[in-house]
Amino acid sequence: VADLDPASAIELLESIVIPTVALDPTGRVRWSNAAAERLLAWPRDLLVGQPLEAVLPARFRAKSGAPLYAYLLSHTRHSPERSFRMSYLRRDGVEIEVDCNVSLVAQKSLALSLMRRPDSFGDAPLDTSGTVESEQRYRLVFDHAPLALWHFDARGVITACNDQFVRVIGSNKRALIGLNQLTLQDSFVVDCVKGALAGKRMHFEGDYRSATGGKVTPVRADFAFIRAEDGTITGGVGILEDITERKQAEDALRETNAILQAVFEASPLPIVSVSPEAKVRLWNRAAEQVFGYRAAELLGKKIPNIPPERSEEFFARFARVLAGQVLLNLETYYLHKDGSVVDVSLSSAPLSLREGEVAGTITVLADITERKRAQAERTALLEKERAARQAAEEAQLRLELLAQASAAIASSLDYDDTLQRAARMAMPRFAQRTAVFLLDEGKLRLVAAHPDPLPRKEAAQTIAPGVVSSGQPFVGELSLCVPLVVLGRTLGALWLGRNETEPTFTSADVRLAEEIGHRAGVAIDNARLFRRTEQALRARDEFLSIASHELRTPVTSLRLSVQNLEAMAAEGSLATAPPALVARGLATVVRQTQHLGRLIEELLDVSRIQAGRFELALSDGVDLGHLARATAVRLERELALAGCPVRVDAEPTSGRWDSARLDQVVTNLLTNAMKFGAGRPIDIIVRTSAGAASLAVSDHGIGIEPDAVERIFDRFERGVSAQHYGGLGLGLYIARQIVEAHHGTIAVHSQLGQGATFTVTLPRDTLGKGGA
Amino acid sequence: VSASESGESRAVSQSACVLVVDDDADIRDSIGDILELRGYQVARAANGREALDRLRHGPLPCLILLDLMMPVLNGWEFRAQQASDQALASVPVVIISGDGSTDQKAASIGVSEYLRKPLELSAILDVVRRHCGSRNRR
Repeated sequence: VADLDPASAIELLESIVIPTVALDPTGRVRWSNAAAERLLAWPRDLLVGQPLEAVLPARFRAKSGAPLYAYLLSHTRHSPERSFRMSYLRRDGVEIEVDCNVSLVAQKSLALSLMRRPDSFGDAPLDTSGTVESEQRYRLVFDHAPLALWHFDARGVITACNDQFVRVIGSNKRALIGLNQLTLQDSFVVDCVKGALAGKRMHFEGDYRSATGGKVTPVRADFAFIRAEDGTITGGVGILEDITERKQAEDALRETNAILQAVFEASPLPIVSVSPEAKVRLWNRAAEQVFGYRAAELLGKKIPNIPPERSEEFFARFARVLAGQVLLNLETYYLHKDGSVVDVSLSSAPLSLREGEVAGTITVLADITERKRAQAERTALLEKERAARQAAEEAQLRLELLAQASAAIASSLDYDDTLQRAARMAMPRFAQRTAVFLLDEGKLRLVAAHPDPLPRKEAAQTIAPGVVSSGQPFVGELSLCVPLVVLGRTLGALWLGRNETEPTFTSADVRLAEEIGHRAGVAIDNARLFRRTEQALRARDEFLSIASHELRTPVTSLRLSVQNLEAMAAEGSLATAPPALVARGLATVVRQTQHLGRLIEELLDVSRIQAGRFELALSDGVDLGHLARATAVRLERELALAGCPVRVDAEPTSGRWDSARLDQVVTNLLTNAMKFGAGRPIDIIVRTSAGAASLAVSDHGIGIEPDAVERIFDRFERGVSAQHYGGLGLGLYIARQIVEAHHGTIAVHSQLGQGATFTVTLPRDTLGKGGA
Repeated sequence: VSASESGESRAVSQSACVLVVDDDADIRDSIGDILELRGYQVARAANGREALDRLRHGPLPCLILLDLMMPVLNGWEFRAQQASDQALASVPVVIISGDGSTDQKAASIGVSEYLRKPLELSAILDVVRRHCGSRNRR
């Protein structure tokens, strides 16, 4: 201020909108500006020269003269910046409250700036200077409005503007007042001012480039015209708003939106938003690709691709999300437009556009169809691998079992024991219960059972006979029975049982069991063959031993008799020896020669029978009764020596038979009865009927052991030890062969210690040609 | 025929009787005739039972010629009873058998001598002489 010339300083002071009053050191008003004049409602010419107390309420007047001045001065010293409150009396006597700032100017002058307190704004109107008051108020509004305001006259010349306008335009008031806007560069200003002056309301939004400094400010401007009472347009007002911040916010928002839109569209994951009514609101490109529906065909429509069977579940879940629940990585599936299933993992959250208001849901989905498929494939593969491993392990187990069982089966010829061991090997891994049955002479015998006794014995025993008779395996879930077979013959059955907790039998199990059954069958057959061979060998060896004994016996007496006669002849004593002794020696020679002949004949018979060259010489009219009697007579001496008298009760009966062979039969039976007759009588009974004849030879000797009855007709067999009873053991064998060649039968009935009866029955007309 | 004297046989043969045990009558008779013709006494038995009866009820023989395979009581059984009878155990036994393994069987019943059938006249006379000494011909 000090640098200005007094006129400029006065003008500056005048232009200050704040009511300002200057006091001289005596406390009188020395100067006031226009604003103060309006505020205090005192004309300046009246106010200047007056003590300040004149406009103060009575309570301030106490501090008249220096004291008031000193008080004000103290404020400049203590807190020049702080305003203090005071009141003054308007010219109409109304007390107005103001905030007052005091500053020390020069030569102890004080400058008081007075700001009317807003709360005292609505008090009683100024009765005499209302216009001033109203004007003042307008001014206040004008000055303090946050908008840039200005007035221009009909030529477009700015006549008034507020500080905000000055700030926005970036200039100063002096430069602006009196500026003709129509001369400005800014075309929008020119256009708008012209428009307003033409009676139009004008609006502009855009950048304003200030003439000074080239500062660009985004603005919004409105222009209105002012009409005089006569209707002519006297000027206009403009309102200018700096919208930099709003613009920035809008730009930021737009940018954010663009980013979000880009993200939304570029998202590789389907993003879908639906309204609370389940209508599609957002449907991005990925969703289009994954589900096959275009956003354009879906927006505003209900979600179309919920699988019907999942509908209820979907809406329950949707309701939960609307209620505020957030779902994370939930796996489910939707449908593709082409109807195929799309497996998804979804995360869903409620969508809230305004506080407290749910506008739907937003859902991000991941297409996991491939993953699911891969997973399923992997699972299937793993399962396959696991199954394969298990199968391999089971196969290994079966192989081991088969190897062990085979080894056990082959280890011994005692097959009962062998089968027991083999069966036990199946336990407990392959089966928990086993049973082995063997067919012995038509009867099924339980050889081994584990555990013993078998808990399900009945089942095993009903199943096994079925398997043995059919030769086919029985396969139940927990019960398996296979035949023991060799060369198509069933020798028995192997039964296996599993506990309820074990897996059921598979076809591989059945094959394994059948293989074991087959191997066991072979082993049993081998063992039986071996046993039979051994028996045959034993019988043959025994026969050879017996045969040599039987042959040596007659040769011994024959040789001794001959050597004795020879020695006597050599000594010359033959002539002098007792004739009876010589005769007995010769008789022995004859008898033993015949005996030897018979033995040789027997052996030859066996040989013929074996070779199938045993033939009958049949002739009609052979009398069996006569034949029996003649044989008894022929063997009289031997029977007597054995102490066995023979009683013959024979009907004459004739048939077409081989007489010599039947003689052999009767001889053999009689010799047999004599040998085992224990020196008791022997009965021969011959009977006849229409078609057959029968011959029974009974002794009362030692009888036959029941278990020997079956085999006494076999070759080389005998009912008792050869150490007691000599003979080749061929008599009964040959007798049976002869009888059977006649199509007859031979049977024995015996009680041990009571003797035995051999009965031969012959058809009287032997039909066949004979031969064994 | 030369007689070979042995102290052992003299000591046991007092009766100069030979017991022939065989179930075959012709063998019993052949051996009996041969020995009787040469001055020996001969007792005959058709089986082990008869032989034991003769031993217990007649004079002790100087030798037993024993067949093995016989009815009623066979050679093995006879031998077992003879050996367990103090009075009879000392009588020497010679097995006569047609069996192929006579030697083993003889050994198994504690008999060291055997003759295999068919028998030789000379072998019988030899064994009888050794046990019973020579006899004058009848």
